[in-house]
Amino acid sequence: MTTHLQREIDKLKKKILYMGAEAEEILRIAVEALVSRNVKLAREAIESDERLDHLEVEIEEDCLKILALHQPVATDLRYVIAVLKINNDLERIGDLAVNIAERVTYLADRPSFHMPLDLKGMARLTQLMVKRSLDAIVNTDSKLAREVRASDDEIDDINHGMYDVITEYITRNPDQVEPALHVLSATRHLERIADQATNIAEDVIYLVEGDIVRHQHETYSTNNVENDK
Amino acid sequence: MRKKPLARDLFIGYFVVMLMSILVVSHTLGVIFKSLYLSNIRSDLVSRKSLVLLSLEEEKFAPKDHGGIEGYVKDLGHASSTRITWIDNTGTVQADSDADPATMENHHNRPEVKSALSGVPKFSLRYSRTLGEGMQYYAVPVRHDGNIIGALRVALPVTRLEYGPTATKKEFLLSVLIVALISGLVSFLTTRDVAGSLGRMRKAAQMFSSGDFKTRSPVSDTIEIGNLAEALNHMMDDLERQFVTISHQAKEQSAILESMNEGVMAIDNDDNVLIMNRAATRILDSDPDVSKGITLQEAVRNPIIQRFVEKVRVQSASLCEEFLIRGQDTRTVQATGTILRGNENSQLGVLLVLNDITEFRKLENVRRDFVANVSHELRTPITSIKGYSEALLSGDLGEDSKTRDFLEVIERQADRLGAIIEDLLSLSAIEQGNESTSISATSMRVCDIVSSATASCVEKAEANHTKMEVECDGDTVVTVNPRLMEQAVLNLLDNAIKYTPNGTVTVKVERLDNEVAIRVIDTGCGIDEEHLPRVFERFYRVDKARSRKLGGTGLGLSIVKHIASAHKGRVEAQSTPGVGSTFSIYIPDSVFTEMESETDNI
Repeated sequence: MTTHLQREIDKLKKKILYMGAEAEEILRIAVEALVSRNVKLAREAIESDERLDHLEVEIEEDCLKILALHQPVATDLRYVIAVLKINNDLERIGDLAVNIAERVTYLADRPSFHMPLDLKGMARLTQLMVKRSLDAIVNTDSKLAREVRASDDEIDDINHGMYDVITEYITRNPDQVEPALHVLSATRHLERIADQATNIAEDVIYLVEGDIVRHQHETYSTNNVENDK
Repeated sequence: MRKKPLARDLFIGYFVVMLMSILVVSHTLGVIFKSLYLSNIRSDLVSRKSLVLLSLEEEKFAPKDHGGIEGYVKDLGHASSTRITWIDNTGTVQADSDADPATMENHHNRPEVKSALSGVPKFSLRYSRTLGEGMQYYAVPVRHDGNIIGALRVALPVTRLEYGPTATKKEFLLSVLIVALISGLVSFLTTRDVAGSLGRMRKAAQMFSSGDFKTRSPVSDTIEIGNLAEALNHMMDDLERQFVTISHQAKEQSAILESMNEGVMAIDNDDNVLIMNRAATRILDSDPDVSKGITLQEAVRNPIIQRFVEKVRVQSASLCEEFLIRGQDTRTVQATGTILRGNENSQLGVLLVLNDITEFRKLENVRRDFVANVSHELRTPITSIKGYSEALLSGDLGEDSKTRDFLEVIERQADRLGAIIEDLLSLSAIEQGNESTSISATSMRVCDIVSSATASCVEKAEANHTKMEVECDGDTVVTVNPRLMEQAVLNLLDNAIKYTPNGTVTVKVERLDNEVAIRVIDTGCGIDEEHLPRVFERFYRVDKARSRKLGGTGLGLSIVKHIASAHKGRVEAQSTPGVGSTFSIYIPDSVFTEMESETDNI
């Protein structure tokens, strides 16, 4: 009975890790497509998302099956619940990456439009956050998860900065309002992806420590990071 | 099963054996002693009785003479430490050496007395209530004038030995204790040596198994244990040798694996990573600690590789695919997946060999771009050469026919060079299209393609006196890029017409199982078998002189082949020298969906 549950949980673990890798890849493709304005890559990202959607449903069903059949307790229960939540977050990351890819199809038609801001840097930072939150899942590392959580502020700051840059750009180039707005929405999607990565990090903290750190004050978490260090 | 110390088993054995033997011996001895003792006492009693009887008869004891006899009996009894009782024939005790006869009850019922009064002497061993101890009695009849006037009874006390266990309980317990002590001591002493040497052997074995391969067990001087220790040492020697060999081999293997340029990964059926060499970690941009036993999903965070492993496992076949691995920088990786087979062909897992072909692809691109650029650059000067030689030819050249000849040569060669450049350009364009798999495709009737190709050749065919026939049923539809396919058919037709003067060229469309074949059949001179495999190579000519004379660029068939492979199809050439040749293009069904295509980049 116990070994059977363990086997199911191992299977679940493999699937959620695969899904993480898949989400990371979609994000990578979408970002590359955005930076190089490559429509073909963007389409690849959009097509890959279908796989992610299937996987999400599959993992959710697996989780429900484990809950119904094995009634796990303690760590196992936390694991299944955390996977259920991470599953959701990863699927959202996939959707947001698709949104970014959809911006590419528009921007590719405007090759004359010069990107007024450092989209690449922000994308790299977001990708790093997603990567590190997935690292935290792989190694069940709550310390790393707390670091990811703390770095969300940085992305938020960059995102706010983007608003100013775009506003200024639009006032100077009123004819480029549309592409500029598209870029802005891409940055917003990136910021949302970073938020999802933070959610994943929080799920990992819950998984490891059984502590629900969501909605707690930022300073608390930063303090915690320092304490951990 | 719970383990017991050796000494305890031995102790119980010793204890039981010793106790049993003591009990048996003491019981036997007891029985022997008892009978000896009793027979001793009995003979003693018989002789004492004779003495007492003699002295009593000397006194002429009379039945009524109480006091005299009583005193005498008492004195006699005290003197001989024997209890003497004189009982008359009614059973009344007349005199007793140890007690007052008045207080004594009638002894008629005592077995020995009863027997004596009836004339038979008798022994009796019983407990005397009068004296409170065990006595051996002996009674004989006393006769006077032939009549039994009474019975004389003599008795001696017997020791407690007779009277059962109460007396011996303490001694028994004591002996048990002594036996226990002795057997404990003996078993401890005998097992101390054995257990000690066994313990040392165990320790040696433990140290060996914990990695100290230099440990050896001390050899005891007991034969059996010594032999065991020697055997153990032998085993350790062998194991050490084997271990050294194995670890040496493992080191060699891992050194080979580590220094390989190709990434190697072995994954078992539960997705656990067995091997992952340094090249693999480099190519896949991940550096996991494989020694801890991790799964593929943890080790390689790349969905493409994970899917590929799963695909190899499910199809249970060797696969080779090319991927783009996006990490720090994007790599082109060629992955070969093979099933790891164990005993009886069981599937153990998947072996993955990864080849970083980024550089290779880059170089290939450079080469292709170079060819394309060079061809493009050459186009302009050739056009000028052609244009100016044409201009000169159409102008007034006077009587100098030599100049005209030279100019004509220049024009012809410039034409040829132009054709080669055009072919090279279209080749590289097709290659590029092939690479990105993005040629645009539409559903077309094959007949349309074929007829437009034949239409462009009509003039040439007439000039060469070649008859052209088309066999096409009209409804066959393929999904192709019409322009490219027409060019392919045209190239084949052009070739066929060139080599078939005064013959027939047939274009035939055949519907096969899941592909469509377009065949161009001529009745020309044919090609020798040795050339057939190479005719689709670039610049390969069967007959160099003739081919050049006929104005070929040497690229026509190569273009056909590339167009076919851009459509995921293939080409085939069959020929019988002197009879004719057949060139076929096979186009598979439904490789392209209608909408897959992008802008035509050719």
